[in-house]
Parts: sequence; structure tokens; C-alpha cells
Amino acid sequence: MRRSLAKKILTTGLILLTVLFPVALAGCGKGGNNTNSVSTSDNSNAGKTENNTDSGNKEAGATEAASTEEVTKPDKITIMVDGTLLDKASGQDAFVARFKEITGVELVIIQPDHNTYSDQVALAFTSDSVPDALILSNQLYTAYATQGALWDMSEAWNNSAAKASGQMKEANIEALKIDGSLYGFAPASGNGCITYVRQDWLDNLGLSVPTTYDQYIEMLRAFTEDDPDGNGKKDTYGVTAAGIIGPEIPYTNYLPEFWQSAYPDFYQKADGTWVDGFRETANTDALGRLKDAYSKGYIDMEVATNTTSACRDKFYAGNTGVFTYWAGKWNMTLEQNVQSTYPDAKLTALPPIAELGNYIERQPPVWAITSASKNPEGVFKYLIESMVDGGDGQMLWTYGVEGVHYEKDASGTYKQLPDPEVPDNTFLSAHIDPVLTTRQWEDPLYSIRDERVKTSAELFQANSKIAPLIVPTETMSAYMATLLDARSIIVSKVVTGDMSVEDGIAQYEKEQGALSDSIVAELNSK
Amino acid sequence: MKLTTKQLKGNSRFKKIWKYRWFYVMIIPVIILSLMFFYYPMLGIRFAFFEYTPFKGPNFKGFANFEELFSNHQFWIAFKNTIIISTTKLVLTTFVSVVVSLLLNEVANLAAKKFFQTLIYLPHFLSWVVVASIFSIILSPQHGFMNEVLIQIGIIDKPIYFMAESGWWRKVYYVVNIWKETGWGTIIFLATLTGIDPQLYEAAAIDGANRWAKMRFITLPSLSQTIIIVLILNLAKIMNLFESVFVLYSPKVYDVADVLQTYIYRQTLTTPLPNFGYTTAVGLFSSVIGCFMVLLCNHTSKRVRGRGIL
Repeated sequence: MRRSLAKKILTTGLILLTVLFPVALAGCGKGGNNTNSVSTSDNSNAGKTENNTDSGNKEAGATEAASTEEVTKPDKITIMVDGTLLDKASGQDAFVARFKEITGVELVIIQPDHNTYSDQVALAFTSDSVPDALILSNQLYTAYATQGALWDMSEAWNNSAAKASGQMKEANIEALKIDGSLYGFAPASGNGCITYVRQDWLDNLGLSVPTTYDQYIEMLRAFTEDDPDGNGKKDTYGVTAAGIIGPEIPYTNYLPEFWQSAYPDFYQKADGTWVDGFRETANTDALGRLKDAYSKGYIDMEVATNTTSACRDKFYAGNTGVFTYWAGKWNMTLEQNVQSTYPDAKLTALPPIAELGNYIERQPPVWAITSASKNPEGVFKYLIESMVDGGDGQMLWTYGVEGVHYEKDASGTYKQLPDPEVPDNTFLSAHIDPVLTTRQWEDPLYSIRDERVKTSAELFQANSKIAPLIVPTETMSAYMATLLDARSIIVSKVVTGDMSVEDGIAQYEKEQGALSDSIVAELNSK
Repeated sequence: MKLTTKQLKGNSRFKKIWKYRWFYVMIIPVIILSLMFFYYPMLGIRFAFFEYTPFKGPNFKGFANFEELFSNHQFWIAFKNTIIISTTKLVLTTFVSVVVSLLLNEVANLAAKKFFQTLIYLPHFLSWVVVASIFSIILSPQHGFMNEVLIQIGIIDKPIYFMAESGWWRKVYYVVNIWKETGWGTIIFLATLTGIDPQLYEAAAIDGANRWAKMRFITLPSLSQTIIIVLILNLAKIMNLFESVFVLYSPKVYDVADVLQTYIYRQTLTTPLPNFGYTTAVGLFSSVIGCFMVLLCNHTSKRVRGRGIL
């Protein structure tokens, strides 16, 4: 009897252990080094205090250091990067070797899978494996900076050779300041999406490039109903997009002509007050426009489930004539791919329509130096400044290594070489997109750059405003996922006809109104 | 000195251990690895009771994470969906696997049988991302194969957005799962069918049993043990739906498609400072439910068959 009871207990225990194993793994994965994390976390904060104190003490010292160039050169810098830096297969080893030649510093690169990068960054900070410097998305940047995990580089920036050169787009750097302090540096601007239109379709239909919303809608109508490709079939529609509302800031970048001035997230108005843009009239109006256009078939019927690759395929296949996508090199890529099916096709990058005013430039990913770095001044000088030195360093971070990624012939003409990883493609950049650099320099490859790339990048730069920088409050951090869920559900249901605009807004008010109020109150009380 | 029975047994056990001592030595690495990688990580369960972000904590919060969890509307939607989708999927795929196994078992031509077996196994080896792409194309409202067929034969007059309509999403999900997993599911049933004593069929034939009677009175009873075992084993995984849902769902169908694992994923990865304590609490809750389901099924099995499998 007793044995049977013991057996039962043992069996039940084993089942519990087996079934609980997956969750335990999750728990472990996220926080296995509990003790370490506490100390890391504490150290981070302590580090910040220390650094803040340091930066106070070093205020004069930093200036002195910069002026006398007495910053200690680090032997080694450890960085954590996403897929925007060239990988091993594309010649990362040659990149590291060249970096050492230029700076005399060994660069140790930690490069997790691009798709899980933010997760890996969180794990690095939870454990004690924090690098000297790393790339952070804008949302991670503000969140980590406010947690004291990043080094305040304001003084280093103020005293840097880069700033002194007068060639930096300082507005881009200033826009990254949080409460007057700089915790991250952007060697390139964030770029954003611009609307591409099939110019040959416009020509076929005798339409001109739209400049107002009415003209834009008329163009979508004509692309949907008037057989713009002239094949005698009603098999096209106006515009495609990978979702109606984006999953991250700036949210509205895939269908900007419909969103116009609406911004469906928290933002600071001109008078300094914070509001939840999802509850404003501009958002209601935008939902109305989207719903109307969708019901008429002007917007891709599959907009709620599209992926970006599916959208590109539809655009290449000639199903749709309007697609809002990244400015710059994507102009060339999109046109080349469309032309592979329709050799006469031509794309036009659309200047923002009057009601839109400006495209939105996303806040750029930044390079940040962690509070755990032993020699942050050295990391700033030898790592970050090398990206914008207007010379060998910038050349390396932009175009890669001579002989591996580009070459120069006897006449001094540059030529970009095939990507070591994908030899059919030309290697375009090692990390910094040449058209987005925040440091003006004499780019030796400027003359060979594709006109389409230059045109759309310049059009975007001239007609964009940077997305608002939001420093999350505690409640916002805790409930951001819940709010994003609620907004995505409502927007997709309203636009595709499952719900009226009024019902959608009412549902948001009912389910998320109180939460939204408390976040707005927190933001306004700061 | 006279040894008691107990002492004799003890001695004999020790002798056995000594005799097989090298086997015990060989198993030591396995035990150590199991402890390191299976049981030590389970200590992470405690974070369900803590507030724990990359920069904060762990601070003990008692049951606060669970209170927050149980007051969250989206969590309950995800919980309900997990139970409905998982259970229906399990029953449907098991049922279809049994039916297909029985049909394959009836195929007399060995070459044809092998061919069909291989054919239906193949989808199992496709990744869920590929499967989702294939079905998105087939079910597309824009000239997708399914909509075109339905329109051509007059069943519908305008296309259906199968992947994004709440009324259709689960049906699509079940069909996709059946297509992908039926072949794999038949393996164990076919193995059981192969093991049925042919003399039973011969005896039944002599007694005048037709094919249907043989299936009803010999094949199905022989399979019933395997079916129950498969069901119980799969019940342990009932709360672990993720990939198949993640690649097929969208915000528009969260009300019928969002499951606990996708909910955890969004709570963790769409926020810059995830609270690992909260998401561990969700995971712990789902594991406890999974454990309860297994024990319940084992209990039912004991009642029905007279013995459990655990």
C-alpha cells in the first residue's frame, strides 16, 4: 500500500517535472543567471551614477582629454551588432583586420541572428555579458538609456573631432538627446519609406503625378478600374502594403497618404503636452479614409495579412501600381525587378501629397556605449568617431575593405566588387548606407552611385520629418504590447469592414481608455 | 552469524550493482547532463513570482503576476483559443490519421502502398513558414485557387478572405494541420496494424466476417490501445501551440487565433523592457494546465481500460 502510494507520488512528481520543463527552460533562458543579473543590473545603475558623477567630474577633464588627445586607447573593443553590419560570409574578418590597421584596436564582434537581436540584447544585459558598445533600435535606446544601462556620451560628443569638423548633420545627433543628454550616436540617418508609383501606368492612363489626396485617390481608382497595364483584364488594384498599421514606430509608414497627419501613438504636441494620437480626430478620419478605399478595392484586399516580401512580389508581378517602401537603394531594386517582367516599366518616387506634408523618417538605430564599458571615452574615440572621420574609417564602415569589397583602378576610378556571400550581387555597404551618412564627406564612390538611388534619397531627405522620440514611462513599458495589440486589432477590423470606425474607437476607449489616460498623465507629469 | 532475509536481499542487491557497476558508471554522464540541462533550469520557475526585467529585480511579488494575468482580457482569449484549437486539432488529426492508416492497410499492392505512404509523409518535412506561404497562395482572395474554384462552380459569388476572417480561420488551420501532419501520424498506427495476428482475420473469414466486420471487431479494437496512448502523449503538448499559429494568424483574427504561446511572444518581444516574471507566470500556468490534462487522461484511461500508461 505504502509502496503504491510512494510510486504514485514519484510518478506524479516525474510528470510534473516533465510537463513543467518547457516553462522552466523559458524561465532559465530569460533569467538563468539570477545573481549575476542582479549584480549587473545594480552595477548598471551604479555604473550610471558613477559615470554621471564621473561625467560631472570629468566635464573639464573630458575637454582637456579631447584637446590634449589623452584618451587611453583600448586594446580591444567588444561590440554587439545586428545584421546591418557585414557578416563573416561577406568578409567580416577582413573588415576587422582593416579596422585594426586603421585604429590599432582589436574589434571583437558579437553578431546574433538579426531576427532575435533585441531578445539577445535583453539577455546580454540580464546576464553579465554586456559588450562595450552595441547597436540599439530607437525603442531599446530610450528604454535602456532611462534604465542607466548606457554611458552618457554628451561630453565626448561635444569635444569630438567629428563635431569640430563642422561636417556633421548635428540635428540628427541632437534629436537623440534624452533630457539633454546623449546616450547614443547615429552615423546614419534613420531613413524611411517613400511612395513609388508606376510612371508607365500613369502615362498609359494620361494621369499626372498626384499632388493632393483627391488626385491620389483618383489615381488608385484608375489603377484599379481603368486597366492601367492595357492587357484587357481587370486584374490590378491601386496600392499594396504590408499591414495597415506598422508594428513599430512610426506605425504609419506603409500607407502614409491615408494616415496624413494622424499618428496613432503617444506623441508630444507643439505646446508640449502629450496625447494618445489614437484617440484624436485625425486618427478617426484616417481610419475612415482607409476603410473607404479598402471597400472600393483600391487597397490590396490582403493588406491585413501581407508580408513585405509578398508585397514586393505583387509589385514586381504588376498586380499593383503603388507601393510605399524604403527610400534610396530600394528605388533601384524595385525598378530593376519590375523591369525584369515589364521592360518598359518605370518608377516615380512620389513627393508627399499636400495633405501628408512630409514623409516620416524613423528614428535611426544608434550606437551606444554601455555603462559596463571600462574605457567609454576610448570606445567613443576609436570606435564611434572612426565611423564618421571623413577618411579611412568612414570608408571602411561605408564601403568595406579595398580589394575585398571595392577596388580602385590605375586611373583612380572606383568599382564595387561582388558580395563575397552572394557573388551575383554587388557589395553595397559594410554598415553605413552611403546615402544616409550623417557626416558629409568627399565620398569617392558618389559618382558611380545609381541616379535612382540618389534621386529618391534626396527627395526623401528634403521632404521628411523625424519621428518623435518617446521615452517610455514605467506603465508604458509594462503595457506597450497590450496597447499595440488593441490598436492593431481595431485598425484591421475597422478597415476591412468587420467594424465601423465609431465602434472601433468606442472599443478602444472602453478597453484601453483608462490605461491610455494613466500613460498620458505619466508623460505629462515628467 | 545468521543473516536476516532483509540483509540477504540487501547483499544480493549490492552484488547486482557491483556486477553491473560499469553500466552505472556509463550512465553517470547522462544523469549529470539531465540534471544540468533538464532539472537545474527548472529553478527558473520561481521567476513567475518575481518582477524581473533586464534592469529591474528580481523583486518578489508573490502572486501579483498571476493576478495581473487573470485580469487580462487578451490572456483569457488566448487561453480559450489554446484549449479549443489544440483539442480540436488533436482529435481531428488523430481521427484522420487512423482512417488513413486503415485505408492504407487495405491497399494490397505493396508498391502503391509505399508510394502513398511516402506521398503523405512529405508535408511533415516542410517548415511551417513554407506551408503558410503555400496555403496563403492557394487561399488568396485575389485569384487564389480555392476561391477561383468556388466561384467557377457557383458556390460563392465573391472571394472569401480565408486567412483573415474569424469565421474561417480555425477551419483553415485544422485543414492545414491535417494536410501537414496526417502522414506522420499514421506511422505508429500502421506499425500497430502490421502487428495484428493474421490468424485473427483468417478465423474471422472462416466465421463469415466481411471486410467491415473484420475492421470493426479485429482492427479497431487492436488499434484502440495505441489510439489512447497517442492521445494521452499528445495531450501533454496541448498548451504548446506556437509556430503553426504564428505563421498563419494576424491581428484581425486574434479573437479566434491568438494562443498562449503567441501571447507570450508578443508580450516579451514587442516591448523594449519585457517583464520576464509575467511571461514566466503565463508559461507556468499553461504547464500546470497541461500537467492536469495528462493526469486526467491517465485517470480516465485507468477507468476505461483498467490501467493507465504512466
